[in-house]
Amino acid sequence: MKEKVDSGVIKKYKSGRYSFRDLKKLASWFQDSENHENLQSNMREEWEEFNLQPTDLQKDLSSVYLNVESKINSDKKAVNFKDRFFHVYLRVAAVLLIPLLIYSSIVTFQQKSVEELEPSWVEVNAPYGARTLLNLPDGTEVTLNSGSQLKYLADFKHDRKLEIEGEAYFDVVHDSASPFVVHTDFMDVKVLGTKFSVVSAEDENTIDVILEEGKVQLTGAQNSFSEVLTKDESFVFDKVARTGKIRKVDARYLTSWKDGYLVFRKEPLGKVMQRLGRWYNVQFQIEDPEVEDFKYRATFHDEPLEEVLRLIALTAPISYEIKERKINTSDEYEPKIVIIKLEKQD
Amino acid sequence: MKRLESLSEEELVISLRSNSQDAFKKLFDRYSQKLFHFSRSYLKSDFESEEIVQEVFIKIWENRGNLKSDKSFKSYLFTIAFNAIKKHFNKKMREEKYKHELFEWLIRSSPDLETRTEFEKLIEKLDHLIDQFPPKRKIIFLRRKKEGKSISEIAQEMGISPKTVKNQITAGMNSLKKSFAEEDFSTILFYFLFIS
Repeated sequence: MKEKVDSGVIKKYKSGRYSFRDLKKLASWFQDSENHENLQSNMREEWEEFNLQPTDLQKDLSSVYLNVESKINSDKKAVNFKDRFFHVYLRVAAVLLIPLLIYSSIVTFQQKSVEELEPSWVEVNAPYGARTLLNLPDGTEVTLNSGSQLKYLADFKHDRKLEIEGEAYFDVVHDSASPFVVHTDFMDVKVLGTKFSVVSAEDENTIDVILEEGKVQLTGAQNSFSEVLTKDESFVFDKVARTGKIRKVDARYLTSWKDGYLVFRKEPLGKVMQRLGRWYNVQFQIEDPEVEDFKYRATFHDEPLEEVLRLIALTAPISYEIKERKINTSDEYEPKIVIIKLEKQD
Repeated sequence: MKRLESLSEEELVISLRSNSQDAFKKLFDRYSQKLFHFSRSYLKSDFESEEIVQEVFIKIWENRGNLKSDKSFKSYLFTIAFNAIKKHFNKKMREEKYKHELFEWLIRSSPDLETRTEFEKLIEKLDHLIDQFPPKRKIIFLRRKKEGKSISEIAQEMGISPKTVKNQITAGMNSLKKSFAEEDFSTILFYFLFIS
């Protein structure tokens, strides 16, 4: 309900000699948008005439300025610390075998001064052998595959940038005012309202972007390339050759992991071991290379590693041995080792 | 190049538009005190007023490309400040809502309270009285009034019966009423003797 804004009431409020009724009036002027225009012009007049009284003590605002300055400078600087960060992170993760973690700052990992960490990042890690489902501040749903990591700006609602290490599936909320960008070392994936997954792991030679629905634009570092992906297409980028190729794929199948399915469709066992290794964080040692070519097909749904291996051994000509985890000389846990051998035909 | 001291505000704005952090600092020095005290008269908090100064100047920097040098910078600054002050003020009202509600309840028994006395002093007294409650009563009272928890929630959290919770709240409300009723009398006296 529109009311008249009375400057007398405002004066009384500011002087401290106001009644509850005065406060209620002022509160409704600030609250109801119908009154904002009047309130603003009243206050504007007041601001133009405002002068510091001799009784107003000078407030030391130097710390405020420092905050403003650091925000300005952090916006200028490219976020280049991530390489160092990931390197340190991986090392630490191996030592502690930390399950799900969410940090709002990464002071723990860096000795560098705090200014470098502005603005603040939120970090989410999915533990090995499990997936993590989370919602970003803008409503986008992310499924992080086991052993993967996602980092996004705390101010994500206004600046939709994030980084991933590993594999993540995104169900993005459309917001044309704020582009959604996934940053990897070699290219940026820009999307508008869509479903896609990105695989970007340090220890692999390729970066894969698989699009289930919608459209994404892929831009190479230093604009080395620009591609547009549509539904059921994948872009496989070779990190060594620095080139990529678009392929038609069954996107649903390739992203089935997000619902807990481990699906192998006539895949060579070598590839199967690679995926299992990443999923369960184990190292496969294949003693007999002939094993690698065997084409395997199966679907697993949230099974433990031992069960998966047992089932594979039923139909594939392999025998396996799971070695217990060891602590090495630097007091770090080594990942589990599974030795695969060709099954002896008796 | 002229020293920054002698630059007019228009020139400072032009410099700022071209990303001069020096010009930005100069403008900060020129307006931050005023902005701080102006905000403080509305928000009544040093801390919040500092936040206003921070928010406003960060916004100014972020939008420096759109600055118009022929328009008043002082006025432009106000427009940004108004929105920030409004947001903070509304938030403060939301947070203090429970005190206002308590006060409305007190007014029902002595309606004069609403218009005659200085509200800030009354709220201060209200805060003080609640603080003086016996510890258990204080916890129950604040959980109900400030945090908005239900009687059964509180009963469960504290391991006591809902009836006890209810009784404590009623006792709290009554003691507040009593204290304010007494205060009323002395305040009326004060006004008669010293003000009128």
